[in-house]
Amino acid sequence: MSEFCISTKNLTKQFGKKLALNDLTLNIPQGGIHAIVGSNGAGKSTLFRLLLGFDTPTTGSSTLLGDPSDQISAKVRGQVGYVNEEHTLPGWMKVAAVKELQQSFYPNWNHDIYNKVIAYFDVDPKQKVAGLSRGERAGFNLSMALAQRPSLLILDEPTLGLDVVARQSFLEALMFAETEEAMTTIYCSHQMEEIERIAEQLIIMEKGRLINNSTPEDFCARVSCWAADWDAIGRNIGSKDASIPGFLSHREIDGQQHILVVDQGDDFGDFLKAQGAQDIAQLPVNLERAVNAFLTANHNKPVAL
Amino acid sequence: MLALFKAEFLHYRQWAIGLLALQAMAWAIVLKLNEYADASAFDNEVTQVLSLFGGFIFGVVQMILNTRKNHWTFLHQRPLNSRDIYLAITAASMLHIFIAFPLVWLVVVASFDLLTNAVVDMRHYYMAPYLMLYSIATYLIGNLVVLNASRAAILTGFGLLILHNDLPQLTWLKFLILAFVIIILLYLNIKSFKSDRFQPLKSVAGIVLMALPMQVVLVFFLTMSTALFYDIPQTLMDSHPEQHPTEGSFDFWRKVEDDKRIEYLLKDSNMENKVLFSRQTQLADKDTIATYHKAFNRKNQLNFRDNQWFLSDEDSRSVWVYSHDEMMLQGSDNFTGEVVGWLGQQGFIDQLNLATDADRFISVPSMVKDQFIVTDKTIFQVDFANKQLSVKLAMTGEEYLMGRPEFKENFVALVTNKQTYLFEPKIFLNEFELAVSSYQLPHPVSLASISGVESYRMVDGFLLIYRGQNYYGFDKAGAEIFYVHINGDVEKIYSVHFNKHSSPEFIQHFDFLISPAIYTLRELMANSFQSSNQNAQNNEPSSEIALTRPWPSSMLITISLLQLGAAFVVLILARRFSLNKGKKALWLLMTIIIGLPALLSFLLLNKRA
Repeated sequence: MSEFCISTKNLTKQFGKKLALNDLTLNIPQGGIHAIVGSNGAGKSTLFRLLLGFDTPTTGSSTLLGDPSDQISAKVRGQVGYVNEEHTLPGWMKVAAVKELQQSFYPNWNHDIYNKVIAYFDVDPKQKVAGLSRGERAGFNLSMALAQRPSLLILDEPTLGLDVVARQSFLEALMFAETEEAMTTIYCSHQMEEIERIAEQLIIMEKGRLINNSTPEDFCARVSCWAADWDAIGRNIGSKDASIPGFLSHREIDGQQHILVVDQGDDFGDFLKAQGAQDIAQLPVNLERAVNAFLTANHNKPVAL
Repeated sequence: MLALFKAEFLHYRQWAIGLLALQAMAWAIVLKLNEYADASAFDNEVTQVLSLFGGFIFGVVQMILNTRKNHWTFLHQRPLNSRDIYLAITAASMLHIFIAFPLVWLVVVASFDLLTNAVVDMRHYYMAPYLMLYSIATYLIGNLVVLNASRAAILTGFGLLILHNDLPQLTWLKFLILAFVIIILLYLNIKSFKSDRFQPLKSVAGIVLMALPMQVVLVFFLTMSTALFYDIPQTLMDSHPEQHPTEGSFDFWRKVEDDKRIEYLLKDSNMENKVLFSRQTQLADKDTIATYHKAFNRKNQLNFRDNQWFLSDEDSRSVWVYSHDEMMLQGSDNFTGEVVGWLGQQGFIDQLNLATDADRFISVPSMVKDQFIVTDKTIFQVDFANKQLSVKLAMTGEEYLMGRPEFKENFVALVTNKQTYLFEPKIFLNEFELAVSSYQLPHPVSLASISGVESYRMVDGFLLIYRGQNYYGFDKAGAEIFYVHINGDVEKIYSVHFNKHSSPEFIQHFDFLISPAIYTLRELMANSFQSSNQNAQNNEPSSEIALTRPWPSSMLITISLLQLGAAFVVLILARRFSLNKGKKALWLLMTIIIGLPALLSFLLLNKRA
């Protein structure tokens, strides 16, 4: 078995003129929960489709549990659980029939896990899948994916559109299973509180490129927030001769400028001072704020009229 | 795999059963409304059309539902290889198809067989597996259209269906080729049913099997393109040869009014009595004699090909239907359906168990005018009143009939492979004895060169014009006038060569120009699948004629340039499509052999890298 459950090399995917993935090289080791975050259009879903062989890259290559993505064997497919954001299941079938169908493909199907995970959700086995709520369908889908005892579980925005209760149940069920089975989980989500709660590794993608692959703590340590009285800030942002190093974002709170920067040491305070800022203080940054600042830094903004 | 088969079957089973019930109801109504029906009279066209579109629509809809983005992922993301998933789905669909189409046919035919005295042959039962295979083929075409990366897959499907529909009446051959078509489609679908279905097929077999069948369809479309660049502009400018044929051409003469045709043909002759002929023909009764006909029915052919298969006698209120199993006609009372007797080639028989081999017809006859039974060697006449069967005409040696007799006001015409016979109609119809022809005309040229015969009734005989676009050889149109005197003498009056052509050569033979290989292949296939008798009946040229036609050198040069040009385009574009050396060589070879249609299929089946 490969050292990495997922490995991509210079993976590029172009749709017409749009570059969905741009020379992406990513290696995800076995074990743990790896969260993938990125704004809409960052290329997360495209990456999953390429990894699972449902699309072909324009250039580059990728492997899934050691198999090239365009030649995934039935054996490897059986080791990968995949839950998509829509939780698409045959709506015309009853819950019990879908479960029976899926169960027939997996000799190692774990009834215990299925029963324990489905217990988090109020799903009637006699009901048709089409009649399930989105949260119930998500729970049912997760239960089946976990009961397959996959080596690799890919969750593509599984809690999208779920209410707070359903989301809570989903995460609890996932964390329960994670403790029961040794598997690698790739979790893609926009919900930072979920990421903060479960992720052991944080992968950030932006415009088809990898911009971070570290633990959440290490990532947070890269981002620092500085508060200062500084009237000349507008002049310093984006200006060639006096730009702010590692600048991510700034906000004015109670007349004070709060500046978020990346990869700057304690001497950043000296830089601000040299630029005319006063009353300088470094503030703590949580993961959500750090990620949001990271993602919005290069986001397209409307041109000022 | 079994679980997937079961799930897929359950998915559409209600639709299949619903369709079965609907058809059963429709059949019940049809049979209730008809006082008498035999198994051959079932509405086969409706059944066939239903199978054709039913299979195709099911194949398309099923795959569209399966290929929706996340459904496709759900289907593939399991520990089964793609081939097994597809086969499980297809096997379930075959069961749906069986329920929806052939089963109802089987039930209706079996009911007829068991509950009535109507003629039900084994070939009527064969229709059920035929419908099954036919629907499966169209279902697989529907699948292919959705699954394959190229939308041109529909052309491949149509091409394969045309190959099957072009076939003759030989039942075993029809089954064999339909099975062959299904195997090709299954292979293409299995290869197309891959997780990334937007990638074109890469195997050599996949490329060849996608490309070759569509050539026939592409040739058709390319041939139709003459409408765009020639026919429509010419028509709009009021200069189309159809509207204004060139003076002196065969087409021009064909546009001349019936009563002036002789006059036109004789205009350059020095005959003394040409004015007399012209005047007489203006007043004469005119007719045409067809020199090719629909082929005779074949033993055990599928019943939807049946043509003229029964006689009816109003006086005895009976219908006599031909049974392929017994090779005799079975008579039934029109109202009660009771069997009233049998009719073999030696006459009437009261009971089937009294029939001997000598009673059975050797080949399947056609019935004409409710009193003639026509095989390719013999014409029998039935006298229902006296329960007698007499031989009206019997061919000897290598002579055989090209079709059924043609009944005209002034004569009854019979065309054989050697000559044309004209009979006195009243005697032929009313006297139950061996017919003696009034006139006998050996074909002046080979039958395949004659497109028709026109007749003019003169005071002392007939004036006949034999004509054809290829009368004097390939593309050498001509006509000959014969005077058939009342004493039976035949005199050739005049011959005309039409040296001018109305349409340009490249338009006239555009199908050959765009692909000589496909053109010749289709003619050779027609020859391989049919007997020489059938070819002549269908006016098909023999293989020898097809292969040795003297095409003009200008055509051959144009064809060479077109094929080389097409190959050059393939060579240039192969780089853009990032084809490897092997694929490039394959496409080059196909283009050099086939020509423009192969270039089109190259463009349709490849994606720019």
